[in-house]
This record gives sequence, structure tokens and C-alpha cells, in this order.
Amino acid sequence: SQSFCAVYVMASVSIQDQKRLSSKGDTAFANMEKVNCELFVMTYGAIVIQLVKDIGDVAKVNTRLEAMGYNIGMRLIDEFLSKAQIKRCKNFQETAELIARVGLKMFLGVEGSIKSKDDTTFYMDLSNNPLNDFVELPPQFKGKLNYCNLLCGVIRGSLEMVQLRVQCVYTKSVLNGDDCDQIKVSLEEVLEDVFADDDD
Amino acid sequence: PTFDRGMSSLTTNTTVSSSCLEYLLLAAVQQYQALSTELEWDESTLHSKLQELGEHLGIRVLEKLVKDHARFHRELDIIKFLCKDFWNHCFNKNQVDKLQTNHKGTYVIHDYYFPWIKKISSSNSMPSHDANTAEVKVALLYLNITAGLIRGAIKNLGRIATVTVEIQQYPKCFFTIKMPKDPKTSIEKSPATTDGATQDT
Repeated sequence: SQSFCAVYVMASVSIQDQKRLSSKGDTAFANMEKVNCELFVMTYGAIVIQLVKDIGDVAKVNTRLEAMGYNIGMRLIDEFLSKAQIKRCKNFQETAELIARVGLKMFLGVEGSIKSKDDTTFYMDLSNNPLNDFVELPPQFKGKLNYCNLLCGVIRGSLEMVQLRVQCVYTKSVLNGDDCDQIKVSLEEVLEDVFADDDD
Repeated sequence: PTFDRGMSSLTTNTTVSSSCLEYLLLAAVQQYQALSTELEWDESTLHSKLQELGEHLGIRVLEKLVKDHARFHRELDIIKFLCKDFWNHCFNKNQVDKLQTNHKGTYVIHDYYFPWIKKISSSNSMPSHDANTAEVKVALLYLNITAGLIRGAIKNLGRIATVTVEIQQYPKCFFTIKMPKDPKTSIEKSPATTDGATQDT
């Protein structure tokens, strides 16, 4: 019902389109080769811990995780575009929904939900981020280590490859006691005009 | 530090796309190459860091994999488990290509085309046989993580082992596992070899 939309500012993506994208995400995920989720998240955990051991400084680890994600994003975008068969986005809100309902779903098997702040900023809520599985941050890392910072880099790297320069930060984490994970994405610059009037 | 919370999962999804793991490993290997340059590590330091990473992972993976199984009593049972169930679980490959043993605590696992290094060589038309090419160096980074994984798995099964990995004819590799008879005795050091072998002490 339409009351769902009233909560959000300027939700210019219709419920119908949201459902269509979710369905696209499900299909794309179903067609991907899979690996055991636990193996993947444990591998991620082992990498984070090793980086902490080898670098020490938590802020630097956060930067490294983001950089790793950025490199992944730059590669992943090609797979995303070809397998999800994406057409151009009409606006940044649509980009947001695409990331949450198709991108995340296709790779991680989970869907995010989007809250748009305005034309150039959105928040993506993730209530069941698999990367958090089996993880408990010791007190000295809570509020300091952005454990899932890799995801911010992935979003930033993949969007940059489609000419959208964004800033991406983790704003909430269940590992810090928040109710869900949350990533804030702000559009800083459009490097070339990608908002075309396509007849989709 | 440990970030481990125990066995219960927050999510219900049991799979992710295999691309996730491939991208993650690639990013980790690249990150460690960069770190190695910045922190001026020699090759064996870089390899041992990657083994450490692998070992931690191996311990955790085993924990989940065998929690319902009976303890392994015989050494050979441990090795066979590694060659089949563990190999299949971690690398999506039915089992290793060959297993050799001298029946005195040394085991050699051969893999003729290890899944984690497939993506490196697929960008070239012919795998090179020269042990000093860039591909082999990169492959060894992945393989050192794997050597650590094996060591961690064995550790979780109650034994201490040394695990080294070599590439003599790319893309074939082999892992040499040495398990001293009495786990309490000091670990015997393997002699270093010159063609890309790594030490795990």
C-alpha cells in the first residue's frame, strides 16, 4: 500500500519497480555458481584478523578493507552488468535500489533496503549481513573497526566504473550493538551523463 | 585478537555466489603483495603471513566441518579426510589428484590444477613451465594460504604438522605434510629448496 512510501523522502522508485528488481535479483542469484556461505565469511574473518595482526592500527585496517573492496568493485561491476542484464538507471534512487535488490542479492544472497535522503544520498539497511556471522568484536575494536568496510569499497569501486563518484561509509553495525547494518552512499560527482531517457 | 562468537549463525542463507570468494581471495592476495612492498617483507615473510591467515581459517573451517563426527584416531584417516571431504568443502573439487606417503609420517598431496589458481593461468594461453615467472609467484601466494589451511585443519584434529607447498611444473602443485610421531617433540625443520618452496615452522 502507498503508506509504505510515506515513510521515505522522495522515493521515486515505485513499489512495482522495487518488486521487479527483487525478482531480478533472485533470478540472478539462482543462476550464479555458489559456495558455502560459512566458508566465505570465515575467509573474510581470517583476512580481517590477519590485517589487524600485521598492520596494527585500526584506522589503517579500515582503509585497507575499503581499498580491497574498491579493487573488487572495479572487477565485479562487469559481472554484475552482464549477468543481471541491467539497463541504464534514470536516477540515483534507481541506482540505490539496483544495488540493494539486485547487486547484493546476486552476490551475497541477501537484500538491502533503501532509505533515500535526497537526490544524491541514500542509506542502505542490511539486517542480515552474512559477513557478521560468528563475529564478536572485542571491546577495544567496537566503534573503531569497520569490520565490513569491504562492502563500502565494493560499492564505491563498482559505481566509479559507471561514472558515479561516491563516498560510501558504514553508519551502523550490529557488531557495535545497532539494530542493523547501514551504509550511507553520497553522490559526489557524475563523471559523464548517465541519466538518459531510455524507454525501458 | 579473536573475533569469534561461536557456532550460531545470524542468517539463514547458506550459500553465496562463488565469485564472492574468488574476488575476496584475489583482493587479499593483492593487498598482501602491496603490504609486502610497503613493509619491506622478504618473500618468505610474505608467505608465512599468508600461511598464518590460512591456518586461522583452517582451524575455524574444521570446527564447523567435523563437529558431528567422531574423533579421528589414525593419522591416515586425517589425511584421507583432508584429501576428500576437506578438499571438496573448501575448493569444490571432489578430491586431490594424488596422495603419496612414506608411511613414516610424511604425506604428499598432489593437485594438478588447483581451483584457486585457475583464474591466474586462464588469462594466458599456455601455462609457463618456468618456475620464476610472475604467474608462479602469484600462484604461490594462494597456495601458501592453502598450506596454512591444511596445517590449521590438522591442528584442529589434534596434531601438529609442517606443511610446505611447491610448484615444480606449473600448474601442478604439491603439498608436503610432515607429522612427527610424538606430537610433543619439537618440529623437525625441512630443508629449504630453491624453486619456490616455502617453509612453515
